Formats: sequence, structure tokens, C-alpha cells
Amino acid sequence: MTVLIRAQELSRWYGIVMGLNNVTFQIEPGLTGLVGPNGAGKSTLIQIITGQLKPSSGQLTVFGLAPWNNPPLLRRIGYCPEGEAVPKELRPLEWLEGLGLMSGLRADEVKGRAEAILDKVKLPREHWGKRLGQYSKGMKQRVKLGQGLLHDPELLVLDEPMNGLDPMGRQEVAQTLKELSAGGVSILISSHILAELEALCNNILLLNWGRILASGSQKEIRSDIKNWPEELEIECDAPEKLARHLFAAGVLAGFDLSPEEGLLRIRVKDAASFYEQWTALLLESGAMVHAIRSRSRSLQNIYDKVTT
Amino acid sequence: MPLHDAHYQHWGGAHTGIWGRRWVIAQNGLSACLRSKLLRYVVLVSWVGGLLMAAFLFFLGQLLVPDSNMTRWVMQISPDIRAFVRMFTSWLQDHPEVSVGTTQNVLFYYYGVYSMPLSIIALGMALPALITRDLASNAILIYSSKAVTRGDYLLGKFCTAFGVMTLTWLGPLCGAWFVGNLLAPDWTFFWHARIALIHVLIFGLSSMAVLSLLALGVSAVSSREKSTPALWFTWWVLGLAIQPIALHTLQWLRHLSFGYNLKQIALAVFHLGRELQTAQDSIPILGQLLRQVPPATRAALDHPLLGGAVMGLAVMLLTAALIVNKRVVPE
Amino acid sequence: MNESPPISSFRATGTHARPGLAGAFRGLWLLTWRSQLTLRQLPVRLATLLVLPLLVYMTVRSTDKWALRRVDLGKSSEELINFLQRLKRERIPATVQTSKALGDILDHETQQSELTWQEWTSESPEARLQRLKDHVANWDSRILSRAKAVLDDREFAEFQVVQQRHRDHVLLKLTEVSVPWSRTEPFYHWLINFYFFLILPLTCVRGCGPLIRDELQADTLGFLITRPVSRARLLMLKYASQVAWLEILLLLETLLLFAAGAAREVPALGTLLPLVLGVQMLAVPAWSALGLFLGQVTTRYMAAALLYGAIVEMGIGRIPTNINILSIVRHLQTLLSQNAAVYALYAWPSGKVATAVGALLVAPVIFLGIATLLFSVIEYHHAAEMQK
Repeated sequence: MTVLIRAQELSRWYGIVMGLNNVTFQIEPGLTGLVGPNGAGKSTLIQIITGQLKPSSGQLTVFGLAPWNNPPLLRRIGYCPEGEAVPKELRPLEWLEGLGLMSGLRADEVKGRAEAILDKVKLPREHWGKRLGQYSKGMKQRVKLGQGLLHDPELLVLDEPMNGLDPMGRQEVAQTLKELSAGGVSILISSHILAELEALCNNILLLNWGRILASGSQKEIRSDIKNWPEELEIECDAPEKLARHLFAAGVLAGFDLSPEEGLLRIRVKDAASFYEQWTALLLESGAMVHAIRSRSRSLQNIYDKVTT
Repeated sequence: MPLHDAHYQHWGGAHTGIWGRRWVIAQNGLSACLRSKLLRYVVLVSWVGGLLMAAFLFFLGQLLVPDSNMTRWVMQISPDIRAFVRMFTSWLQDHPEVSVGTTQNVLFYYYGVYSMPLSIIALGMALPALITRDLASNAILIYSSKAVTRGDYLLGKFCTAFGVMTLTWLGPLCGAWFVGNLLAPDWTFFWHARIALIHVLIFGLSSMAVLSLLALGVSAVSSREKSTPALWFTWWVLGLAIQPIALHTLQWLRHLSFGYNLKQIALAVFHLGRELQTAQDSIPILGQLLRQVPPATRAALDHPLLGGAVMGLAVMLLTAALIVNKRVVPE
Repeated sequence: MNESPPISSFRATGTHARPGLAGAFRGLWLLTWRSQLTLRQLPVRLATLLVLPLLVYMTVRSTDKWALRRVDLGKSSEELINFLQRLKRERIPATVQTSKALGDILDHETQQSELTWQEWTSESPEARLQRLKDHVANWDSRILSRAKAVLDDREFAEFQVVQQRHRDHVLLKLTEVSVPWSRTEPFYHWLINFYFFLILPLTCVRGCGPLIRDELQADTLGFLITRPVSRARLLMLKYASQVAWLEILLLLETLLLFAAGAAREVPALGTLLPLVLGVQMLAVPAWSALGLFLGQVTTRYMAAALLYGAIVEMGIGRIPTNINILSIVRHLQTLLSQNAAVYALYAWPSGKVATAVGALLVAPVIFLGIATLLFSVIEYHHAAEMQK
């Protein structure tokens, strides 16, 4: 499989502070999530990928080329930064037209393209006449996403693109990103909203303290973590009764009860054996189960597990 | 009882008065200003200037003592200088009001006026910490939610600006006067130099009040940290640049410069024309030197344009007040 | 769920070429002028454009008013009021007839003296001063001799004190300016000293100094440096678009200044205007490049520019040495001296025009070159910038 981004013993420091600490990884085409707490090195990594910073040591290539001061490569990358900063005095079309011309769009097509992009990111037309300084956080975020898409990049790098968006907005952005990905655009997205990344990304890259802690698909990462008991959350009508039965059967490593919520959270010793017996155990207990959720499969869980 | 109530409670302790709160605003503002390394350098340079002034006063004082090391050293230079110094110092000892009072008055005029640019620079650096940053960060909204009125807030900021200039101007001026006279050969120097101190305080306090109010106005013009110092320095520089043209055309244009207006006030307060006339008429040799000052310069010194200066400053202060009134409002 | 509208892929049409120089410049030009010409900023921009022409119009007198100018011997009515107040303080009664008679004398003599004063060309300042003192002394003695006829001894004694003070005040005011200017001289001082050598350089340095720093502090630099334009080209095109904006703005200002001069009948403006515009076209890129270079080197670029001005322009540039070629002002003076009126007024040391033009073309290349090199090599980081 082709490798989109390759880092080899990449380090970046700011004075005595390590931003990235000797990281080596590969990112393949598709939707990749970049996860990590504040100060993990996500923005540093993104800025190196987009050619805004140079590595202090090691190397990083995108499409096989080093990004720093590399216009042909930058033509293939789109970037949407974190933060609310936009040129306050400009209107969105003016801004996109200027950036579009700088990106190589022809003068006769740039306006149409800018309008199409604003429609794509669902910025309502009635707001197009206002200056960017008057926009809400969510509207600014949409315009920023739009400028990243302007020149039809092959790789779209997004730093916290969901910030400031309401749930509907986040859903719309996620939908747009899925469509882009389906259209062949590779996307690298960093976010703290892990639930959205979980639904969106095929692969994740986990960072903390400037180091890569895990990379790959969620399933791969999870299976790589040893001695990690399966955790389930069961919603039923008689959680105490079910807990007593499962405990007597000797399949539990531990459990938590929330009778008022009708919830039973269990940790099983041997997941494979448990699932073989689960149906029989449930019928024997006589409890009526409404829902079962795996907590250990969530990205939040992986993140918590790996970063502690 | 072992367990204490850790829930939210109303403050039951003593409340500070309104002056305490105003002091906090002023103190925080001054601390914010002094965080700037450059401003600290300006303060240091100002006090070095004050020390040099004190040293100069000490030197002058020593010249009035016939058997001081200073006098003996100067007299060793040549026989002509020895004769001159003997005649000069005996005359000065007989006329302390002129030798001490007039001399210090003239010296402190020049020191006060020519050290004013340092304070203007310091105030320009302090502008963002006055109102500009509060406008940018919406801190005025926070202030307005506390037990302080807009007037209290502005008074606190005024005291911040006043404090900056006390550190860079009035402090070194008064310090130079005190140390210079402390190192004088006689305690009567304090008495003879009292007029100079009074003039320094009148001029210093009034100018500082005016500059502080103008600084508040300029700092409220914009919420961008770079814009307000740029505006302050541009106004100052253009005011200086306009002087030669205004002198030959419309003289009232000179009053667009706050530096020029304050200089007219200094001339009026220190009565420099009169003092120089006294020195010219009284002090041997120096009188001949002073007669060679060009008439144009003497005209300016003898007749300060106080009316125009006051009116010019009044217009500036009114404009500053209008700007502050419009901009410093909780949104 | 509504699907977002599909947009055409450029990859399909092969629009993957790098932007040409013209395209990139066009984009940056759009961003430059659109962010600086807004309705909100328009009143301030208009006010700043009109202030200087207004000052020129106010300070240059028309030929008619100039012909009617007189030496100012003060207000005779004020002197009369002072005299009457003094009499009141001394409890000396004054009659209406006396007041009227004295008032007529003061008005008449003051008017006559003001009208009879003539400024002579090629008169030394010392000779003019002496002639002025004699003229004032004559005016004073005429007033005193006529007043003596209408006032009694006590009144005359008081009047002598008032008249002496008034005379001294008038004389001091008249001698404040030792060499008066001609009618059109203020125009040249506004245009050359104030506008060309102060406002113009400050405007250019202020305009180009923060080209990168402002973007960095606003955290919008990332949008530009992630475009498919090399860092060197980005900086040069940003500089070019800002210089173009400044040229337009300052062209307007110069034209307004000349319009004010023309309204006040300043002669020979037709020959001066093309020269000033041509020199300005060279000056703007030079000062702007200096500002850009200083802005790359330090956040306090305005202070650095003032320091540069003090050391290089006012220091080195005024000393006749080999290195005074470093002074931009010196070369501008050489070019402006090609106008006879300017040369007659300022008498700057003349240099070679070719050298001056060459230096003004080379200066922006050098400053811009260093700035471009710095920008190509140094990373600019928003967080580090905000800590400065």
C-alpha cells in the first residue's frame, strides 16, 4: 500500500522543550485521526506536515517529498488550522478568491469555485456579505475549512476542525469529510472530540508527550493491548439479579451496579469464553436485557488506557 | 468541631473601602507596566539622570566653599583661573539667593523640561497597560461587574499613569533636589533652594496630571496594543516637526504639540526670563555670556505663550475626555 | 440527511499547475487592498489624506492677502483698555473725550506704522532687526508725543508705563522670527520637510514593517505559507502589493498637496509635480524595503527605523564621507534639487543624478533580498511571537 506520510526518527524541539520526540510512523491514504492531550505534539506534527516548521532532526516526507518551502507539494495539501483567527476585514468570498488565485486557480474560475466551496461547507448565503470578523465561531470554522478545499487537494490536514461547531454542524462537517474521503481525498484530522473521530476515522495515531503511543486501526490497537479485560455495559430490568448470576458463574473480573439507571457494568476475565456462554447465562438469569455496549472498544477507552 | 462547612459562603470579613479598590487597580496597572523590560530601563536611566544632577549640584556647592578639595583642584589649573575662582566664589557667598536659588531654579527648569521626553517615552510604553488591553480583552466588563464604578476605574488608571511618571520624572527631580542639597556645604541651601522645589512640584504635578489624562484618552482610542503607542509617538513627533513651520506661518499651530504647551507652562512657572535677567544683572562674567543669547530666544523665554498653551491643552483634554467617555463602556 | 453539493475536481481537469507570478500577485493584491480599503476605515483615511493639504491651504497666503500684509503692532484697543484700567486702579478719573482722543491716536499711528513697513529682499537679518527696532521706536515716539497733547501729567505718566510695556511686548514678538519666510515658502516646507522627509518614510515603514509580523500575531500567516508559493516569492509579492497600495495612497496625497498649492497660487508647480512624483515613485519602494527588513529583524521596527534615521540619515548622511552614499535622504535631496525653486531654498550639496537613481534602485533590492533570505530560512511561530 502507498504511504502518504512517512516520518523517520522525527524530532522537533523548541529550546529545551521537546515538541516531538524521535517519532517514527507511516500514514496511509484514507481518514486518519490524530489523538492526544494538550501539549502532545499534534499541532507541531501538523505544522511540519504542512511545511510551516522544519524538523529539528530526522525526516518527514509527504508524497515522498519534504514539505518545507515546497510549492509543488503544497499544491497537493490543504490545511485548516486550529484557532479562530481569520482576516477580520475581509468578506468570505474576497478571502477565498485571493487565496484561490494564490493557489493557482484561474481568474475566470476562482469566483465560481469560491461560491461552490462556501455552499459545500454550508455557509448560509445570507452571511456572505458580512465581514469575517462578524462571524460566529462555527461560521469561521466553515470558511476555514472551505479555504483548505479551494484548490482540490489530495491530502487535507485539519487541526481541530470541529471546534466551535454545534452537534448539527459537526455532523455536517463529518459528512463532508466522508464524501471527500470517498472521492479519493486523504484526510488527517486532529480532534479532542473522540466520539466523532471514532465514527469517522479508519486509522488513528495516538500521541502523548511528543511520542507516538499507538498507530493503526482501533481494532489493531486494542488487540495489541495485553491483559485488558473486556468491559461491557448492560442495560436491563434487574441488574442485581444478572450480576449475582454472572458472578456465581465465575466469568466476572469485576462489576459496577447502577440500579436506579438500570445499568450493570461488567469486566470479564476471558472475553472469548464469556461470549460462548453469554446467551446461555442470560437465559438462565431470567433478566430482560435492553442494550449491551462495549466500553472497551471505544476510542475514549483506548485513549485513556494508552495515555495512563 | 472537626468538620467545617465547605459550601459556598458569603464573605463575612472586613471589606476594603473604595480607595483600597482604586489602589488595587492602580497598583495592578503599575505592575503590568513595569513588567516591560524596556520601561524598567527607562526608569533606570531617569534615576541615573537624577543622580548626575545631584552630583552636579554637589559640585556647584563645593565651589562655594573656599577651602574645599574641589575649589583647590580647580584653582590648580592656572593662576588666571585661581584669581577668577577666588573672586567668583566670594561673590557667590555674599549672594546666596542668586548663587543657590536662581542657579537651582534655572538648572531645574532645564532638567525638568529636557527630561520630559523620557517620561513621554515611558508613558507611550505604558499605554497598552492603561485602557487598550482592557478594551481588547473585555476586562472593562469584568470591572463593571465588581464594586467599582467607571469613575473609580478611570481614577485607578489615571494613578497608574501618574505613578509611571513619578518613577521617571518627578521622583528623579525631587530626589536630585533633596540629595543635591543634602550634599551641600550648608543646611541653608535647603532654604535658599525652596523656590526651585516649589516650582518643580507645581510644574511637575500639573504636567503629570495633564499627560496622564491625555494618555488615558490615547489609550482608549483603539483596542490594538500596537496602535495606541504608535499614535502617541506619532502625535509627539509630528508636534515637534510642525514647530518651525508654525513659527513662520500660523503661530497657533504650535499649540497642537503637547510638549510645546507644557514647555510654555514651565517657562511661566519657573519665571525663566526673569531668572535669567537676574543672573545677567547680578552674576559677573555670566551676565556678559547671557547678553549674547539671540533676541528671538530671549523673547521666547521672557514671554511664554501661557494663554495659548492652556487653551491648547484644554482642547486636547476635552477631546481625550470625549474619547474615554465613548470607548470605556461595558458592552 | 442533506448531502452537500458536489464540486468539480480540479484533478480531473489537470489544474494542478503552480500559480504563476501574475496569479499569485493578483491574489495577494486582492487581499491587500480589500483589507485596507473598507467603509469603516474610510472616514479616517479621508481625514488623514486631507489634513496636510488643509494645513498648506491655511498657512500659504494668497497673493492678495500677501500684498495686504502688515507688521503686527498689536491691538490698540487692548492697549487703551489696559490704560483705562490702570487709571481706575490709581483712582485717576478719565473723561470720555480723553479716551476717544487717545483711542484715535493709537488706532491711527498703529495703522500707519503697520502699513508703512516694507520687507526688503537680500537684507541681512541684523540689518532687518535694527530697521525694525527703529521703526517701532519711531511709532512709539509719535504716539507719546501726540498723547502728551491730550493727556494731563498724571495720565501721561501712567500712559508712558503702559505704552512702554506694550512696545516691549510688540518688539519681542516681532523679533521672535529673525528671517521671515516668503509667501510660498511654507508650501515647500510642508511638501519637502514635513511630507517627503517625515510623513512619507514613516508611512512606508509603518506599512511594510509589519507585513509578516501582523499576520503572525493575528495567527493568519499559516493560510498564506501553506499556499503553493515559495516563501521567497510570497514575501516579495506581498511587498510588491503593499508598495503598490502605498504608491496609490501617497500619489493621492501628493496630488492633494499640489492642489492646495495651486489654490494658493504657488508658481511653477507644473515643473515641480512630475519631479516630485518621479522621486516619490523611487522613494516609496526604498523606504518600504527598509521597513520590511527591519520588521523581519525586530518586533520594534518603528523604534529601529527612528534609530536608523538618527544614525544613518541625520548622522552619516550629513557628513561628507564616502559612506554617506548609505543615506536615502541624501539621494532624494540630489534628485529634488533638480528643481530650481527647491535648490534655491535648500541649497543641498549636489550629487550625481545617476548615482542617486542607482542607489535608490539598489537599496530596495538589498533590503528586500536580506528580508527574503531571512524569511526563507527562519520559521515564524505564532506562540513565540506572542511571547515577545
